Amino acid sequence: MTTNSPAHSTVGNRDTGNSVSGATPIGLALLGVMTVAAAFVALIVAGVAAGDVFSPSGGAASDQGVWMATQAWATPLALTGLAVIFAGAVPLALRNVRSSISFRRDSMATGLPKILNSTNTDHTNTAHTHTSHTKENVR
Amino acid sequence: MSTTHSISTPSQRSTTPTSTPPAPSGAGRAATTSSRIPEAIPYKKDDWAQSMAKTMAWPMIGMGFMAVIGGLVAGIIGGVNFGDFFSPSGVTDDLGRAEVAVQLTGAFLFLGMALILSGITMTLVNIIRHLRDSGRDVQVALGAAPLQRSKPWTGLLTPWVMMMGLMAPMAAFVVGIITAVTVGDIDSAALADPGSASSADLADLGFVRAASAWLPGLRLTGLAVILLSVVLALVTIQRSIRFQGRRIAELAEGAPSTAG
Repeated sequence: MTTNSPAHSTVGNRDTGNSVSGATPIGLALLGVMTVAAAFVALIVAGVAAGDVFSPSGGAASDQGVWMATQAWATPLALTGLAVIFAGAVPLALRNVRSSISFRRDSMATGLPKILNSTNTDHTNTAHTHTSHTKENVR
Repeated sequence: MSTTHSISTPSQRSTTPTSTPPAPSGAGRAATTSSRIPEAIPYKKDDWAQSMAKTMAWPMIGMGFMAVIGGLVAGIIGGVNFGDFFSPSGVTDDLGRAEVAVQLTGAFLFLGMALILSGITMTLVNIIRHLRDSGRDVQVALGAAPLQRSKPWTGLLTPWVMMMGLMAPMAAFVVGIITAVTVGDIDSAALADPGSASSADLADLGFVRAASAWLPGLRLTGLAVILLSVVLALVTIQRSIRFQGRRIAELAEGAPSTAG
């Protein structure tokens, strides 16, 4: 006797979201980290130039130019690296979580009724055996 | 003599014994309508916040990323102009353009980050929606009436906190544009040497310096509030998962007792 609910047929791969490879979010996250690291290196160069500007020997105007120009583009570059992580890696990872929830839903919707029914059948068979013994005893 | 045993269907098994009587024989697939879990309520569809999250999550992230790229471009323009100004052939106009670009950079970058983080909050809300719908499907597959957890206070607060957080960087963006326009109006020579500025330029310079002092604080506060909404959404996900575990356990507990 099949005991699957008819409603089970309604459980399909609806709204599962397209799963992307787990490597994609990690790759994007690494790209973001490398971007931030590159900006960090550039900011170190800017810091060295700033140190030269305020050195006792007095820095050249070019040092001040390097300092301010690098700072102007390196800070946005660092934030762009963060944006790659937050706009790329995190949403894709969350998308994978969502598809995993879909997988779990399908597994539970398919498996749980069968598991519960097998448990139920065991209980019913046990009850049947017990009833038969009782009837024989009465006879 | 053969005895046939009818195996109860999942719907009959899932009838909870506490507040509703077991489904009568032949009741078909009458579904469970009650639960011992206090937070359980009948399944409901999306409310306004969830509909907004469903529609707006990816567009928000896309708009935010474009704004960040706009900020990066403005930053590169600013860097080039700073370099030109400090080169031997530099003129003060380069400094003026660089200062305008710096103001635009901050405005676009933080607006973009705020939009991206808001998009992440909405993506988390979509996960909550997906969890709820998955729970409904599993319960229906078990023949039980679909119940869901009533919205916890964290879930009620999430959209409001997110929007409140988004308002701050948006306000900072508007002020940043005003500041950039104000810098553009200042004579470039006054930017290079404030001592030589006219009184009007000095007033503008004062406004720009003052705004530059508090704008980053406002922007970071907005981002922090949006991150708070992310935390609220994560707590809501945790509560949703916990509810589903309790609901499955409840349905499983009801199975053998009715069958036996």
